[in-house]
Amino acid sequence: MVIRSRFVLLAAASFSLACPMPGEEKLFVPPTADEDPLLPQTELSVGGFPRAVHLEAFGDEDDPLVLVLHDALTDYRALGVLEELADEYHVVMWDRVGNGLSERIDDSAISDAFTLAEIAAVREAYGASDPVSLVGYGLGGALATMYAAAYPDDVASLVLIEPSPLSGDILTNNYDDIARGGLFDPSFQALAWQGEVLAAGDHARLDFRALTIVQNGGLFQDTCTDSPVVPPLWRPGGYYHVALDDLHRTGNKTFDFDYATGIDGWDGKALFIASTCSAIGSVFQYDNHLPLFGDAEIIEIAGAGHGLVAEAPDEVVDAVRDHLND
Amino acid sequence: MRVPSRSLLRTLASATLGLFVSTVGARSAWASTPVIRGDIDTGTVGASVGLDPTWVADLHYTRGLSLQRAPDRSRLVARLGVPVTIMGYAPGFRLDGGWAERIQAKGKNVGIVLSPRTGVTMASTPAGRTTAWTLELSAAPGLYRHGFTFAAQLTWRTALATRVTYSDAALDLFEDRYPPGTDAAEIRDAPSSGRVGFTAQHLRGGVIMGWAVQNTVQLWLAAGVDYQPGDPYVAFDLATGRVPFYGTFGVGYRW
Repeated sequence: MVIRSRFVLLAAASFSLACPMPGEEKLFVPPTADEDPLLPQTELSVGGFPRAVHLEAFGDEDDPLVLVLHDALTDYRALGVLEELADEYHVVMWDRVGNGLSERIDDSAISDAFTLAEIAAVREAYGASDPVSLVGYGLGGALATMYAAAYPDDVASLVLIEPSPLSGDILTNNYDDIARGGLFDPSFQALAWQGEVLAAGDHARLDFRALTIVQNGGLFQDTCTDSPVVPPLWRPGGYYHVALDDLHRTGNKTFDFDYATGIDGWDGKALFIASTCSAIGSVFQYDNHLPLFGDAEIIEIAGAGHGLVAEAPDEVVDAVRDHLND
Repeated sequence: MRVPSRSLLRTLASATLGLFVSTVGARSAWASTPVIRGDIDTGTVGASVGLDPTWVADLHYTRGLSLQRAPDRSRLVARLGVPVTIMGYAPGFRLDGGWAERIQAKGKNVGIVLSPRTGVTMASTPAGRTTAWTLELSAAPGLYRHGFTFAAQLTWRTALATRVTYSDAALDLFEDRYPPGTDAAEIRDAPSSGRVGFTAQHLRGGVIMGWAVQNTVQLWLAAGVDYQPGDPYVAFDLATGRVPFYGTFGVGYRW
């Protein structure tokens, strides 16, 4: 049974407003770019509205452009190692709106169409006239695939670091084998108990609570260890995840979305980088995702889990660089 | 008039019996024997298990009070609960106590039990530890008969003030946010652990059924729905950890 409703942000007179005690500073998680002007950021129009986007660019603006897309419930801090590519490429990393340290949004601004527009806006902001390279991690890999499928002439190269399921059918068919959660999942239980004293009444508290999921290894199971390596992050995008899940979920374990429609029309070569210890690792990618692409290869990072970017950063960077240089 | 036992503080601090047993056990146990002043010091202990809001085990304790104004209607209640399946991963507890007052016309089976409680609930997660002072107000109108109780449960529970203690993982969120050269004086550091008010509200509606199996043993079942105002109301969602229902089974012993 799935019960859904829309998230309601709290008004000042709300019944469930949490308020700092007199003299206490704001707690829970770091402020977002719209709340902290010192953060590196830019303004992008997303969904017709200007949004403060936490973003950094590395390297020479004249070098080929590489756009980096982060995973779900995390941000681009996990992919900071890709800054090493800045000696040859103009690398742009950002937190998608609603995630990381970028401005928070409500569910009316969360959709696949808006994500496509956001990626296009970043590309336009950095003046790319040539096809760009996309490096996506987890959900970012799925979104990169969606962009390449929608705009095949705009994408020169795809690097997909253990992308999350590219379609609802893939996720539905593999859900029990790959997904964490349920009434007996320890992180879910811990969150449920914490809800006795700390409700997810606003973005900050929801993101603070979502940190439990991240620290437990994220959304997908790790097959080698009960203590998976967690890449660093600044702030989970808790509500973005809730809203996206609400958008795609049709039942308790069924989903309806497709990031890969049309990807066989993209004539580039995709590189998959996957671990051997994640439920969505190399075997999952080989069985479910590679067949969707016209031309793709997979590099396996042995002994790593979904946190492979943190567990084997040199291997990941080398694999990305070699593929971009091809 | 027999005054309340001076072990009041001891009663509140000891293993607990919640409202449910007091509602069930008290009425059914009292009805099995004539109500005399000697009965009003009856104590009950019990235990319950179930999903509330995760897999939890509670110990319950009640103690009857002799009050000349309303004998045989008032009980002190206390409860200690732990989320048993995650104690090794995310230990926590809840300890609360209060009062249960049964209002029932003489000779009638229909009545209502009103109960205020207050206490402490602690939850720990990889993000940190949250310890809250809680307040709960409940009303249970229903059928209170000899050996059997069937009542609605209407509860409002809030975390009045919560202390948040950050884990290292939570503090790390605040690191490395600014590019080199940022004026250190303007950087917003990680907050120290502190207090926040009114961090959670729960509205519950459900039912409880109880049976006196023998004069000294009671069983009960309670189930219902739980609503948190302002919270994403999605069952089994990882990011919210919401469980919009509860169900428990309990057994109590009265002496």
